Amino acid sequence: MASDYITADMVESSEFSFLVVKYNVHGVPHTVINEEHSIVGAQSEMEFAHAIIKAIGKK
Amino acid sequence: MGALKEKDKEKVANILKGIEKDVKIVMFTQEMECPRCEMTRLMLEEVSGLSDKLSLEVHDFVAEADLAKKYGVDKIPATTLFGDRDYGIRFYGVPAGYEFNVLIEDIMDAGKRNPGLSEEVMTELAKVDRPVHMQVLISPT
Repeated sequence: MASDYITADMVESSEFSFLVVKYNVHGVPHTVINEEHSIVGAQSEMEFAHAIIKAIGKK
Repeated sequence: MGALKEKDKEKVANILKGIEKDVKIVMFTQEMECPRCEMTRLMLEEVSGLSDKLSLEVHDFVAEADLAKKYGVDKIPATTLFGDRDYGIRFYGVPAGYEFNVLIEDIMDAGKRNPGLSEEVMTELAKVDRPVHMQVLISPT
């Protein structure tokens, strides 16, 4: 909502277990950014924002 | 029996009274509904009936594959929220338990046309200049 570039999915892992396998999820919440960056556990909003910026290769 | 308990319905209706602007819920299911698709649809029908600022659009994931693709919806049940535009919010699976609270909060934010993030976080996110797809895997509560 904060950026038109960002899509955020909430995925019920028990209903889509193929994603649990695909992303090697061992605990929840487990956040995947652009398929290759993972964040495990709850983080602050700022930490998520930083992780997004890092994922797109910016500073 | 409805998808929501009577006492929960009253509570939710009370919260939804505060919706500022119209919010549209767009849901994808299919003709031969999976049990969880049906559960989601029934729940969303009840929720959207609790406020005249809320509307619900139900689409067929198979028959309307082009629309699903346009919204980036690749599995069902899928629940998405629109305010003055697509906010990129997607719920996959039944938004029940704790996720139900998140859904209601997101509806309220969409009604405000404001995600409720701090100025610092908004400044950081303003730097995003290419598509970002976040998937938060959660477990049922």
